Amino acid sequence: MKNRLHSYIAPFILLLVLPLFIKAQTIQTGQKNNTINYERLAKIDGMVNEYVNKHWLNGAVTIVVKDNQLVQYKGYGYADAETKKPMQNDAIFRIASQTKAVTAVGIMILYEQGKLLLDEPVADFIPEFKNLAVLDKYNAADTSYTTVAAKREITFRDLLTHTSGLDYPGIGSENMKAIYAKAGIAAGFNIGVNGTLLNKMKHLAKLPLVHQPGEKWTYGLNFDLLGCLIEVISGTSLDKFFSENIFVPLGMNDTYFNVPASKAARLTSVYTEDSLHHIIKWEKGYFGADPDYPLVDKNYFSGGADLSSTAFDYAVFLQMLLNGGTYNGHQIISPHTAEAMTSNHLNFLFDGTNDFGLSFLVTSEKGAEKGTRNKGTFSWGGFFGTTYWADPEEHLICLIMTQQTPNSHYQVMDKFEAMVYSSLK
Amino acid sequence: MKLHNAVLILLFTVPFLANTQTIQTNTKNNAVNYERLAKIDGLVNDYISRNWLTGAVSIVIKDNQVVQYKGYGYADAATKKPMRSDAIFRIMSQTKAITSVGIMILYEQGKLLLDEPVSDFIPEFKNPVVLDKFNDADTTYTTVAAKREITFRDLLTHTSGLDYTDIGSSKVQAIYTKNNIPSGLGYFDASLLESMKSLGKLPLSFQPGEKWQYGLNSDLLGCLIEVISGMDLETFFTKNIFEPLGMKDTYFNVPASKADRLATVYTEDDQNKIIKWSHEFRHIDPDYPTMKKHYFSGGAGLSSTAFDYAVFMQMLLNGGIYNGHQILGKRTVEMMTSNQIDAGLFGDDFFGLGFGITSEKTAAKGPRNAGSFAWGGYYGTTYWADPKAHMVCLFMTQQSPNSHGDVESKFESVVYYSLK
Repeated sequence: MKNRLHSYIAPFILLLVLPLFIKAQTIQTGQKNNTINYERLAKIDGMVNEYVNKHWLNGAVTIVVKDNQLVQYKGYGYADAETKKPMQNDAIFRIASQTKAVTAVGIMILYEQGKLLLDEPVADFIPEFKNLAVLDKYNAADTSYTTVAAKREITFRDLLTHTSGLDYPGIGSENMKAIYAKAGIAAGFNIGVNGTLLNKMKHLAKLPLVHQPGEKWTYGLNFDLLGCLIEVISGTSLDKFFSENIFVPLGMNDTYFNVPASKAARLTSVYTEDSLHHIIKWEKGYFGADPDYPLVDKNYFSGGADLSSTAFDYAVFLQMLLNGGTYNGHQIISPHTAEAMTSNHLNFLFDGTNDFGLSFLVTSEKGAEKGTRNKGTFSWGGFFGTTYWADPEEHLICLIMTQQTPNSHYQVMDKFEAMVYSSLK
Repeated sequence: MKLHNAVLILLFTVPFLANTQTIQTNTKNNAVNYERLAKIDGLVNDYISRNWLTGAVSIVIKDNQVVQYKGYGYADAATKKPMRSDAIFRIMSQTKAITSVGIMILYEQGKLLLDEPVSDFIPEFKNPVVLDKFNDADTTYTTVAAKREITFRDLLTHTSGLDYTDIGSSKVQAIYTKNNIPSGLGYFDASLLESMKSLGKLPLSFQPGEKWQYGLNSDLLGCLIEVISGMDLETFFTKNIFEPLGMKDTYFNVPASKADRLATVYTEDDQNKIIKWSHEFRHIDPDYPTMKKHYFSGGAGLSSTAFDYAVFMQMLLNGGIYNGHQILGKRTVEMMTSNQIDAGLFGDDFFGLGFGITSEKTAAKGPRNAGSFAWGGYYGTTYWADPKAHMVCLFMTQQSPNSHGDVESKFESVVYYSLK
């Protein structure tokens, strides 16, 4: 009789306790956090609005999540300055390179399924990446070049840490930019897309690397190649893979490669600056990009640059990582993998100060000395003016989203950070 | 549990929590051996009876409790006026830490960034130059361009390349004198902003960031506080720091009603005998605290008491909060009290945003724990806070030079000797 009672009581207790556990994972709204000075946090409004009033910024969204609680979440200024459409906090932003972290998680999902190893050559899946060459001398006059053999193959870890030797078209080093341009290699935003992602990557394999694999950190097409590898290994298109394995389980309902027409009105406008630093609209074709690329029905998905998302959706993605891979009862990756992604993977400081993980800048002890972020904070951002960081020591997630590049008044982001940390009790 | 029990417990703990932030008097601290601590009296009185020191005030706060707090000898030797513990001292460079906190308050309000060039606020600091060759004979000089502009962080860490007028260390000092740049020590009938603008056009001693050199950095920071806040420095400090912290005896301009609490300033003659500091000595009139000033030196201008300054240090030890008032966020205090300069620039020690910091290396050689942050004042005042020991100490005198200045180190030894 006693045993039977226990077998009824135990699951009942579990049912009572389980919601508490799930609650502890998900981002809670509507509760006060005792470690935050809300008066100080509110001063962010004055600071951002000043930038908007001075025409240094058209609009922004900020979000701060502390201890799984939403403590700040606001839209400022305009989503579109011409029509004076206000910036709602759930505005959809072109998150550009913030796509990379999502691609990294995609790779680690396949890794956890035993489909790949981090130090495995990617040539195992795309044989064109065997026997790579490294640029030796480049002749700008006639665009010819000489190469030497790569000392080893490139691996998944090389790609995840930007140490493969792949470079970037458009924003990379001078010589490689020219080589990529001549070969029609494009970087995302639906620029220069002709044919499939796999064909483009096979084409990329025939071009030289800018340095020997593993020897330096160079920002490059690594995550476009990783996105392609996800498609090859899973047999699914990248948008379906992300949707099934990440966005749906996490409830990231506003994150897409192809933003549906029904949500087009929530997509913010993109801006740039003229030579006098006045903010002007990003015209179609500027820098080769059509700002409406999120609305185009694409089947070429750049794992390095092509997602659009909201501040809240991306905060949920970061909260999953801070939680150790689980959110709202769904385990996306294991705690050990989450820790590995946000730990240092390099033998050198990638920028002279900080460490680098699997797609993330990781604040080192040296980096933590002079700034507010604690050691272990993982972060990155996007080309159009979006920034995120997650500070495990403070259990803190922050994003500031704008759609303007360049931005001669980018200090608004540093000031947002200073003011968030100044509000921690 | 019954609701009213919960409320009672809450009522008990809330004041307790507030109390753990403020400095408590008349409670005993079990981590201190009071018998040993009392040996400070014999030490200091010995120096006084030998005429090695006129008077002093010492204060020791451990775990937010006052465990020692005394005046010794005379505030004024001629009239034999005794030194009370609440005597007011000219704290000179102890002003610098307060100015640093003032800057960080503006930083937390999003008004400035640490690595922002100060020329954003005082354009005369754009396109700085560095001294190349100096001709001693006629004080002419040549310069080279600075590799970069000076920033708030450079000023807070004394690595900007600025020097000091009168008490400086490089050839640039002579250029400052020639151009009438105030030293900040004493009374000046000048405009702080105009003086700093003039300073902006003069050469630096070295390339920004490359060396540590004591200089007018905090005076420039005080000026920047005035420019950014739109308030004069005395008003800014009073509103943002002194009033919330209850520092009622800290001023640039000491009111006439408190003038009799100022301790007299002394120096030594060439036989090391203690003599009064005259009005003209070293261009500093010791009566400057009661002279009505409008030139507020963020590097040297304040007067204060041992207890007031201990409250300021306790706020920092508490992580930015004191008596329910949050002056700074805890991360900001962490940054201020962490090393901010390249290795070797400040000997074996570290330097934060306004403080010297004991490194592991120097901690091995003396009683202070690593992480202790400290500084002092030109007229013979010293302070340090030891986070590991949760302790704040001050030893205040008004004498410079002091050939028996070792009394301060001995005070420090006895303090640590009394910790259980």
